[in-house]
Amino acid sequence: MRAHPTTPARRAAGFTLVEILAALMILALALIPLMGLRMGSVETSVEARNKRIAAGIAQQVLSEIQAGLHRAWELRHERHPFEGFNGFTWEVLIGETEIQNVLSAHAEEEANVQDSDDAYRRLERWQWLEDRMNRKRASRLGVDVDQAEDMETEVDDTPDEDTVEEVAVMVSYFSPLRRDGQGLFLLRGEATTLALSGLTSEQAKELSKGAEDGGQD
Amino acid sequence: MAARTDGLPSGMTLIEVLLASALMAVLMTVALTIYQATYMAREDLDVLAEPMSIGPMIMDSIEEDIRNLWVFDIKEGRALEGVNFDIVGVEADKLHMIVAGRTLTAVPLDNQEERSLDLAEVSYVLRSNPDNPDLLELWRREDPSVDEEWTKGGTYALLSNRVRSFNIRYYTDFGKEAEPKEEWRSRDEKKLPRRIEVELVLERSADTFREGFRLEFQEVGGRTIKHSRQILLPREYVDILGDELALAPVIPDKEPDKESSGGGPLGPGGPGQGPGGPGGPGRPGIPGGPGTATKAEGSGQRQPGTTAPLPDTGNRTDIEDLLRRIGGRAGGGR
Repeated sequence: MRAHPTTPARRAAGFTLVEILAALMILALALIPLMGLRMGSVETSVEARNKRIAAGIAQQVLSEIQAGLHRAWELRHERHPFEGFNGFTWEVLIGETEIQNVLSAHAEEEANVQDSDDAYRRLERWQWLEDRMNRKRASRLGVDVDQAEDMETEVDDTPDEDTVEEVAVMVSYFSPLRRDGQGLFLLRGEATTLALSGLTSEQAKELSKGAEDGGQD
Repeated sequence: MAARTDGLPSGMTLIEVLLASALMAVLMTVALTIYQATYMAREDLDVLAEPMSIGPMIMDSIEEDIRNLWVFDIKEGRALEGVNFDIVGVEADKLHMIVAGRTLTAVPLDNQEERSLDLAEVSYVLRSNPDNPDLLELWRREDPSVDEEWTKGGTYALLSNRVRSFNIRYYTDFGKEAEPKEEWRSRDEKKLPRRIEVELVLERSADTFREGFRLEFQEVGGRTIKHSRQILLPREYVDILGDELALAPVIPDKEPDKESSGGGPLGPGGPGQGPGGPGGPGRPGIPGGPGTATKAEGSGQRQPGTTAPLPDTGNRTDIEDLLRRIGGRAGGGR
């Protein structure tokens, strides 16, 4: 390019500064969404990582409960932090009814937040399950459903290895993809009442012996 | 740049050169930003994946092996051997066992084929990491030929080379206050533990862990990550290694007495329609005795002559009655 334009034809041969700046602007505009794409991929993998960590925590805590390392009955209705992993908390649910209730309450919340057909279908399914559970429980107790609701589930106070209870561990984690930022991971299993008491079998024997003696006095 | 002389081909003016380099700089900046963003994304994803990548997989592998513990017709109670061991003051426990389930290593057969077997010696052992003296390597050994030297031989697979410590404890009871044992030799104990606690501490690689690493989302875990798992064994397993017990079906020494029609509920007795042989194996009604006598034989594990103690099944006659009534055959063939 010559610094001294002579004829109009010559002038047309190169780009002007303004043209080049405009081209760069367009390029920049095209690149900005690409940065967003990266952000999205980081969010997805944060979600994946957190879910995986939550699954690991749930597995570990459930195995600890099944081994009787916690006094599980006393830990209910409370969120417990997990050592070494900030932002992750776990909860214990004991008994089929409680697990079912929590799940359907969660499904309800989800349906309200998401407001999608899918969420409503899930909610319906949970409500159906809950209803079924309640009826089953009522028929087992030999009363009608309304009465059964008022009756507390009886807790066998002599822990042993023969009685088994449904247990679930629910881990909540930070989820960047969800609107409320909270993801839940639930793992279900069974544990003996001995394990749920957190006692050794010797201690459990003493306890039940003590209860018997107490009853006789 | 040389001054321009009339008639000769000219160079560029200073303004042109400056403009060109300015444009170049802008383009380079854009390109570098993109490159850096990509690089950072890759690094971020690595950081995100690291804490939970290998640990849970190792724990799952150990849990699966323990759950598949082979406990039937074991010679001298060789089912599980946990050795308390340390390397330069770091817990590096060893675990040996005999495991049922498909082996990972295949065994070559005569006809040039390979197949995996159903029984293997499995060990988890550690050694120090030759590249990094602070860390250990965790290996899984698998030997499909179960033999006298059941803690040696076979092939080794590296599970992790960033192990800080590996600790296994054995319990005979539930509960937090249960007494742990650091070692367990089923050969001496003649028992299996009630539960096993496995604790593995892994160190994250320096690439994926830096103090104050810039990350849009919260960092989890620290420099080291501790994985732990409680593995419960079935209650029936505790006494399963006793001398008097052989829970796998065994061929009785004597011809079964036809009068008593011994055996379990469906045991031998009566003219069996089964394919000849010594009256079919008895089936003790103790849980967990799958028909696997051939397996045990193949591996030289059988204890010949041990007959299973039969639980006194009060309803035996009922079943025979029932079978007779429906025209079935009480015993013999399966």
